[in-house]
Amino acid sequence: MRIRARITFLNVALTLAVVGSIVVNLIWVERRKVDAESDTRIQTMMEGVMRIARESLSSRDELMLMSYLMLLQAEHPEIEVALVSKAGHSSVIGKVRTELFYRTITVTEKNAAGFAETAAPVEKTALPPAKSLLPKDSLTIQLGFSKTLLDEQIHQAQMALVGKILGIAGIGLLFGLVGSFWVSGLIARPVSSIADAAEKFGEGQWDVAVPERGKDEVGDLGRRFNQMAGKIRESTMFKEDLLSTMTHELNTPLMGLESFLDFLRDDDHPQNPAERQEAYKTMSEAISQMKLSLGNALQLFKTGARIEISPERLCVNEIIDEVIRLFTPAAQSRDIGLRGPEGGAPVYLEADKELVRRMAINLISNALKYTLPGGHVAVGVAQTESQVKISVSDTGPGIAPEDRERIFEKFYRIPDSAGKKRRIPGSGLGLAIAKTAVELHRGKIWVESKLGVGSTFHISIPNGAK
Amino acid sequence: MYRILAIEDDPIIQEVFKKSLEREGYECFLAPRISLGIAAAAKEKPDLILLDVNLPDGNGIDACRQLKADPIVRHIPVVIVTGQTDSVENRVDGIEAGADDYLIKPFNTKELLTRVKGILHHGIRPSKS
Repeated sequence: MRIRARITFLNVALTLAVVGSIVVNLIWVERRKVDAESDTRIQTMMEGVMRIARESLSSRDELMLMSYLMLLQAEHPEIEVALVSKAGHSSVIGKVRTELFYRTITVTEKNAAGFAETAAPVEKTALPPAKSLLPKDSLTIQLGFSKTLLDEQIHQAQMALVGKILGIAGIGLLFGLVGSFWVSGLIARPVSSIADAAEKFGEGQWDVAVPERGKDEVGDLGRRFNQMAGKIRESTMFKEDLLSTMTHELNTPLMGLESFLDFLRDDDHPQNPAERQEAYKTMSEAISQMKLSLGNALQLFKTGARIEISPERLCVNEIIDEVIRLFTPAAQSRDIGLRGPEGGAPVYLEADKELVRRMAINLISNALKYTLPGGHVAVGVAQTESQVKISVSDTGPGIAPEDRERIFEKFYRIPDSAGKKRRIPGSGLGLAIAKTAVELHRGKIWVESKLGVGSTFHISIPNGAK
Repeated sequence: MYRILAIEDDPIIQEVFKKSLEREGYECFLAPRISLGIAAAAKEKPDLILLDVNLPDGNGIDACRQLKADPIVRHIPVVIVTGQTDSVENRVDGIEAGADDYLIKPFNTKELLTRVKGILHHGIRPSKS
């Protein structure tokens, strides 16, 4: 929640600053407007008075001016006193109660009317200014405005305005707060869900995944997290499976070695030379089996690391013959006929020598494993214009149609009748490696099989494949 | 002399069975497939059957059920031989299928002989009530 709090705080501070400066500006502008309005109002009032004064002067009807002034005073309480002076005699309407400021109008009959004002506060007992200097037929009107009342009017107008502006600012702030809380949630939530997922993943929960919403950085983070988790998961499971398969594959020959060492060392049952030879043969078979398993595991690690293949021109028949020589003793001891390609011109291929050898070793050892004494394993090589084909046939038990694809999976487990997982012994790595090796050469591998009769594994590699 | 049938496809384990049992004076004969093993059991009527779980032509647990369902051979004690990784499931399944004991690969010859002797000489069948 820390990111969220930080983003919310920053957003609120920013909103506050923006709204605050807008409010201050608005209040300042509006205040000037209110002041100007007040001035205009007084100005309008004075113009009205002047018009009436001129009329009353020309019609010699002082009463009209006096009643107008009284009416004006009743309507506008801010006018506390009105002083009218004419030919040395003055009349006062109203009483001075507060601090006042005065405006003065002087109208003469001949001249056009003009008015002047005295903006400075004048004493309560202010006298008409220098009336002795004025012509006799002039009329001077002084209006005393209450400063307190005027200020109060302006203040009221301003307060209403400030209230309105602050209300709008409050709504803005509220929107800002809610918005930033929401936005910060949008950013913080996926981040914390990724953090949670990373924690679970670290504890070994391999199946965690985070949502990959959006095309922004947060969505990207989710996608990359999932990709990373997928790769780690795949690699960890691969290593676990490989380790478990290796344990499985190494256990049996190791057990054979241990048992036969015990027989050889057992002084209570001394072995005769023939028995010793038999024991050495089994032990050497066990060691070959372990070498095959370890070589396969190493190969899987290498191809897992996507090592480039290094193709060279090689003679397929030579490699097959070499592998057949390797397995002939094992085949003979179990009375299995192992035959290589017969006759025909040697077949050449542009390919990785070690990988082709692995293909042959694994297919032949697999065929021997599933063939009973008295059975046969035959290896064939053929060539078309664009393809080189290798086939290994056995007289084993055959493979059920539903298993023919799956036997090439890296760690093949087939569910037993009760639906529980179980591994086919030994076939774990060999066929998977053959398949990987073939696919690195853009070739194909498949099996034809008939239950109770035997199986033929086929490899087809494009000639000149890189 | 007791006669023991080992249904096992791995040549190395076959040799281990044969060698260690024969040295103790048992007669050991081998069958590398379930089909061959079941036929041999009916024909030879051995005193004990060692039965691997993973065989090329099927599952040893199913073979055990098959043996225990056949009145001619059902009295013959069966020892299930299973790999370590599959051991728990297979032990339970094997006992459910009527197996008399089990042996976990990799085993050493002493362990094998102790189990075999226990069943043949003392009638010990630990998992049967």
